[in-house]
Amino acid sequence: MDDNKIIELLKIGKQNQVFLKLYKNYPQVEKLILSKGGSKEDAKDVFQEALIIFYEKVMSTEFKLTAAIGTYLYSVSRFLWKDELIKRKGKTAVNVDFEFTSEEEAEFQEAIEREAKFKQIERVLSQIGDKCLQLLKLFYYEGLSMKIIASKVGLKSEKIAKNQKYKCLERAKLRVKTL
Amino acid sequence: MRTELNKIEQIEKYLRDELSVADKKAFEEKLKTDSNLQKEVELQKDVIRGIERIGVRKSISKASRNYDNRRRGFFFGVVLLIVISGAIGISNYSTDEIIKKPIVTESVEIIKEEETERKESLVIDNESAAVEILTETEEIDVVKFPTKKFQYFTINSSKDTTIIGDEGTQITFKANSFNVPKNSPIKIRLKEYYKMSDIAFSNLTTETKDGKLLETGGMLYLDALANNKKVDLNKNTFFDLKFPFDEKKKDMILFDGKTKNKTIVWEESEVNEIEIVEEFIEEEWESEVFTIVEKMPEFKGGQDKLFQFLGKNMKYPADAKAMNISGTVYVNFIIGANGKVQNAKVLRGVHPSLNREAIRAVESMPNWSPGMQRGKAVSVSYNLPIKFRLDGSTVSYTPEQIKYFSDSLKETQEKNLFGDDGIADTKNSTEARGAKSDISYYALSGSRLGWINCDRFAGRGNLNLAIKVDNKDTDVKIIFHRIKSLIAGSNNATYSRFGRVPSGERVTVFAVKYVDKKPFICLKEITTSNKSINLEFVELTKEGLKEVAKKISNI
Repeated sequence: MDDNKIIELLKIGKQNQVFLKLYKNYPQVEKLILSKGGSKEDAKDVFQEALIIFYEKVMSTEFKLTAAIGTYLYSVSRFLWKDELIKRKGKTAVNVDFEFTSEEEAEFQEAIEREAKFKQIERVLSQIGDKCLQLLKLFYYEGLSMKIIASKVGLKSEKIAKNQKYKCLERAKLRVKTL
Repeated sequence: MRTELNKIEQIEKYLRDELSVADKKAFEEKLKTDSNLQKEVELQKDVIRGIERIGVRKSISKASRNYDNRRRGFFFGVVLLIVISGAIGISNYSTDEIIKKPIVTESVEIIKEEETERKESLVIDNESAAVEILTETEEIDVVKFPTKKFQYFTINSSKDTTIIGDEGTQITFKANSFNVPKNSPIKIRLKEYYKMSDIAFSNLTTETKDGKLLETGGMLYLDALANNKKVDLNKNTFFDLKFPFDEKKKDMILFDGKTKNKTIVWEESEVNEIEIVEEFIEEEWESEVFTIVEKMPEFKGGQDKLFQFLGKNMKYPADAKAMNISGTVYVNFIIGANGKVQNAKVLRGVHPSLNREAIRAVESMPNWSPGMQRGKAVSVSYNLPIKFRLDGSTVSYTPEQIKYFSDSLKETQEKNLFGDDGIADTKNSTEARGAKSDISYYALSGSRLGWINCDRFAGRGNLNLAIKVDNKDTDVKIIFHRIKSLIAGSNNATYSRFGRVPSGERVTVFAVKYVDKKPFICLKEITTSNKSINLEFVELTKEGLKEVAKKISNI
């Protein structure tokens, strides 16, 4: 599957398929992180984070494919690991061979900040109750119609489901607001 | 409330570009000047993006699991004699029935109040205060173990109402369950304890009044207030309780808790009937091949006939027989919407000639009754273990074997419903999974408010475990790894003792002591034996607390 095809599939919502394909880039990242003082667990975390950053990049309006996806994932992973090392050991302890261009530096730094913000948001969202979360996920992530969702979550009608969706959104907004 | 929802609806329509041209223009005008509205729009965008990201994360971790499984080179998480993912007997707990039972009825209030009213009802907290002993001696600037906060729900006493807690507990009160005037508002208060760290920090244990060990499926504190006074259920009134679970355990029953020596001891509840409810959440998948459907495909005449057919039609390949090779070949095939058996392939084989024979037998099967999803015949991917045994010259299944097969099929089928992805995707189309159980519950009836625990008995051993302590007030608990259980030691000045512990059991010791009102803790993994154990304490910091909570809940 070539890179353009991957992006096309992501944009039309075939994430499951795409992520599995992208895992072919994982061994490289694992090797990197193992060689830089990390564990396999670290490698897994970093790679998952890199995938989500890649996903966000693809979904942003101004996205253009400038490098091979594999290269991109590798650079992001490298940056993430550098960031993590600094967090763990302090700036001075981190090796010089982690160098990035200033554009990369700016882009990745921004991504890391965004990730930190959304991690908080995701955390409180996961507390809005299973039913609400499920309903919202079916609507916003899976893109299903309200009618199908109603039957899936066991609500009597589309109208009730719609109403419930707004209530759930309200609850979610309240939680996020207090962050 | 209503205007708030209207605003959310309007923002939603704006973000999804569903407003009419005029409305959109008006909205954008307002947006230019109204900074509050701008904030609301941003907030709503963040929420929606957050939701999407939760979905993305789920996809990623699914891919990660699939990738790991492939790398390890096996198809199934569990190696059993028989492993099957598309199997028979699903209609026993069919989707229809469950969907007909509305999870949330129309009168239900699932939106709960925010916790603003916590203070006014603090007066009546005696009963639930027992759990907060870990914190009561502390001052504000010292590190505190987090305690559970009440969740509040207001219900109308004259209506059937279901409330859903943050961690998924569902409680349904029937109309007129409480001894109050008609249509009174009742405030329900709830605390949920599912995570081991919550249980440990709240000084709860999984031990009965008479010292029996329990394995927990979730604990609750539940009560009801009318006009800020505690109210009880009417006599002989029951409420329904559902405890969500990830991994099904048999023999769960309900226990009531009583406060004793600053902790809660459990006692078997008088009413005890349990039903396990599995809710199927169907998912739409891109390809048309399903793994689990509402009605699974069936060999005409049933599964006994299927095994009879295989027994009759298979020959033991001579070369394998000569070499004394036996074993089980796992075959996957697709039963098309027309009932035809297609694409038979070996998932895990034994010997080439056994594999070939298995495929030949499967392909020679007559058409099945196809699987059905939403009233339509669909293609279903199906796995079947075929066992070659060398006790006779041909393959045959005794009635016992058939029964064993059927039971194992059912069992492994159930396993698959608990989130295991079953077969990893092979070549092209098997990314498809028909449906997946998303939330499953233990459903019980309660008759008493207060402390409630959904548990089962776990056997005890005969080891006396002794853990050395340097003062009587050190609080020592052990948390089991194999089962979700926690017990507290009883102390004298030098030892904290645990009676009748199984030996050779992996446990984590969690001990807390206070020096100058500052908490010191020890977290130590041990295997139970008759050697006495020493503990090393470190002062608990805020960061350390998070770490500890994480460690404990991951046990």
